[in-house]
Amino acid sequence: MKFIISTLLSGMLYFSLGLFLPWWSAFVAGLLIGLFMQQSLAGSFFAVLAGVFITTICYTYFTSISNDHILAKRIAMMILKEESPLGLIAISAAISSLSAASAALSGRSLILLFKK
Amino acid sequence: MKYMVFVFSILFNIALYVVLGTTQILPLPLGSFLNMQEGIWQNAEPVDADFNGNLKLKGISGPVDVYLDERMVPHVFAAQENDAYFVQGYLHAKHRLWQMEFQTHAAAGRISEIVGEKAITFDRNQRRIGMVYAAENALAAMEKDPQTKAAMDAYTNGVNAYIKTLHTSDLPVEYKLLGYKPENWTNFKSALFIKQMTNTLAGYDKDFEYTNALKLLGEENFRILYGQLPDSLYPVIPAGTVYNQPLAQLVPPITADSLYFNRKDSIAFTEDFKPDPANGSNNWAVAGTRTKSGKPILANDPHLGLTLPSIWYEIQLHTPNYNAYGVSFPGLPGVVIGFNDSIAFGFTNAGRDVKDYYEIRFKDEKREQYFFNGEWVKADRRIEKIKIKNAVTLSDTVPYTVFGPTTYDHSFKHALSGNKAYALKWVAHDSSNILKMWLQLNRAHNVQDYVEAISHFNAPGQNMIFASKSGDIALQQQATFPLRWKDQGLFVMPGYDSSYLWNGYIPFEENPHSFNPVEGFLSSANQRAADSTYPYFIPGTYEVYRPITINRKLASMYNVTVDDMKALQNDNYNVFAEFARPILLNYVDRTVLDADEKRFVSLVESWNLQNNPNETAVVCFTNWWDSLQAVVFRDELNPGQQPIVMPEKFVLLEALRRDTAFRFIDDIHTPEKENLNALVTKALKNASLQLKSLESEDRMKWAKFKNTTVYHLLKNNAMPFARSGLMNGGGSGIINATQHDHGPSWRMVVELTTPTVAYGVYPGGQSGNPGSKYYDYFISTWTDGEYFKLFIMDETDIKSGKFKWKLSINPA
Repeated sequence: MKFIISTLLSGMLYFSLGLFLPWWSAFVAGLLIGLFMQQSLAGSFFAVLAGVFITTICYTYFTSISNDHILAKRIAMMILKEESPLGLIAISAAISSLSAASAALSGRSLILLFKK
Repeated sequence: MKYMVFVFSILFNIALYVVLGTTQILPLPLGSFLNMQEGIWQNAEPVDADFNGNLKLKGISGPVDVYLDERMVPHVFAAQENDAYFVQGYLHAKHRLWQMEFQTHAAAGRISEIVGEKAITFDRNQRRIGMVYAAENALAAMEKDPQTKAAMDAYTNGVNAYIKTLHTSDLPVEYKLLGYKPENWTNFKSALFIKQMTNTLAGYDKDFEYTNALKLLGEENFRILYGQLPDSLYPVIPAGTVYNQPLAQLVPPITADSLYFNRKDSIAFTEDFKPDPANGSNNWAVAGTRTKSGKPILANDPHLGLTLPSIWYEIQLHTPNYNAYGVSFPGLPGVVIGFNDSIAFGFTNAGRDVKDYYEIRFKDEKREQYFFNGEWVKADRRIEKIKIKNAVTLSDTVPYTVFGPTTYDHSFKHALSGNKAYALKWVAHDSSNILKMWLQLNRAHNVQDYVEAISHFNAPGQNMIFASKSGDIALQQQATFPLRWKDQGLFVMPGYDSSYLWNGYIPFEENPHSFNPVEGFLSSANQRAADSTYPYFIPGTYEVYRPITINRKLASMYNVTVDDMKALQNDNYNVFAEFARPILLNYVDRTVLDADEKRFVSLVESWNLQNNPNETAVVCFTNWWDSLQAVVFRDELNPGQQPIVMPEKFVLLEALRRDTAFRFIDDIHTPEKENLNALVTKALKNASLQLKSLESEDRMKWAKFKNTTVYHLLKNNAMPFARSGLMNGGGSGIINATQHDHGPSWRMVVELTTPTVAYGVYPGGQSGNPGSKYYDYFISTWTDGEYFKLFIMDETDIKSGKFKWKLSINPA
């Protein structure tokens, strides 16, 4: 249950912070979940990873669909050297989720340092 | 263990931040670039986006309504003229901000600020040819005129009103890609844009190459290879026109023989970043006596580098004083090529040489004083500060002489000795208010208004075509062109005294012009303006063949319709090949050809002379002729380190049509005496190797061979933003002048009936955003030679709702 709540919360937090913070809001969202959601290190890491990953996938996929993938194809060609909108979506999600999850790991491990 | 996990995770976070947030490791800051709320995903414009809106903006005096049609063309209805320019600035910025800033950064030599050290030479070159100096002079003249200043101020405020609304997430993709942010627009940037266009169209010269060629070949051979008057010249102003004699006959200085025509040394470098000599255009106007409707038709297609975002932005500006429609330059207020309710206007490039280099002798390497009129004169010094991304600012000191900036000295071209330099005198440096011309043309009613408007224009030299609903057609080649003695400025001139300075300018009234000619049509296609009876020396780089086809066709056309004009703009007939093919076919020695070579000859023989997209014969012909040109000239024109330029294409063709024993036929490096048969056959054999290779790559079709590409402004660095492999015909010397990355950048046909009927298309789209469907919306239509009917909106259309979106802008 905690895992699901953490997953949902991290996704929502990442989205909300991103409305007014730059790209590194992923680190902030992950750190906050790590600090305040009591669970194991692995639980914290994977819950945030999943939450931010799914949020990014959903957001970018629907954005790209409504754009007929015009831009995603061009940017994917630039970065991946092939017209793969899904590849670009996956990379975007991987970057944000890994950033958030590694920050969650830091936050949780900091709490665990002080836990007896 | 707990500590290890903590430390490891912290280190991992730092590493991620560095890798994703900076360009230290990866070429792009992927963290922000691919962020869903800040990065490129915000530029993915929904294909069904709603562009309706209501805005309140500071800087306008009354409400302005913008109606957008289904092609995203804005129709701006404003009660005040300057409000229309304000909104034009706003719309230009909304759709083309990055392009506007990038082009003006390029003009100002500021690209190093964006891309770093690799652009330093380019930036220094821009500063050293005096682009910033020229823009400052132009701005001073433009701001002196209250009407122009008010228009520029309104436009600038409109651009900045848009910039003010931008958040990081809204920035155009290119800013995110290159990692910088826009700065405020200024009137100075508009002046820089004008100078960028001036450099594009009047920045080509061959002074250094001609100087070397003269020394290498001697005067007689030089004149044969680099003559200015082709036999097949079809001048802009019909041959036989009687010209006034000039007030004074200009003669060369007495030192010209020794210092100018017979200089001792050659020059071991040439100019960098020369504009494309193919920058040109077609325009023509057909009088009502030749049209089906009885009203004039005007057509124009300017040939420029094909770029995305496009150089053009289509717009209608409707105010109580005028109603102008056409294409505008993002960066300037007003319509640049188009029409209003009374007249239509268009331009082609004059191709005249208005740029001369003078050799300067400085006292020493400090370059503080130069020798002029028998004494050492102090040079003005302009210190150009060039900011460089991730490096310290570079200071480049450019001495200014009586001629202009010393573009080349030992600090820039290491081949030069310490005290020798080359200063540039260029019409573009003179102050003038050329924007006034467009502001006046937009509201012109008749030929008198047209003449008054174009009198404000000093550079780049243009053939300005005009037609009116009252039935007039007119054409004038306009700019301030230097008065030269014969051959002045062909070569680098001595800059040691005032005798080599220009002798003023050709008077406005003496510029070649024509009004309602008996032929019933006027045209220009970058050819020499006038025949040899024109009493002024007018060197330049001129087209020979497009004008022949245009004039031939127009002369044979009656009951002309808009469709005829569209077809003519897309005409693929190769008149050069019409003249050149008999030489190839008559002189090739067929007895020594292999099967492939015979096949190529046969293709050329049966060709219909159309440069159509799927044609293979044109590939054979082009390679064969280019190969012939190489085998004829490479022995004489292969001087090693000294830059030299190949003769224009017409030179060899006309020489061979006159005399097949042309003196350059013989290869000076072989003991035997070659004849034309030997060279034509050798050329075919050389070309055959290339042709077989093309066949194996499936590139024998003309469109595949030339691979027409509309590049993004970042060229090869942003190929996914480009459109390549476009299947269209045409080519150099063809009315449809589409080459690899160059060609008709806007095709327009206007029939001056009531109401006006107009068609147009450009190879791009209204939006500069590669994430918008409107980015390259027009390219397929353009490639197919089709047009859009231009929607000239009026109040009735507003009432009946003939628009797709409406943007209401009100004062804040």
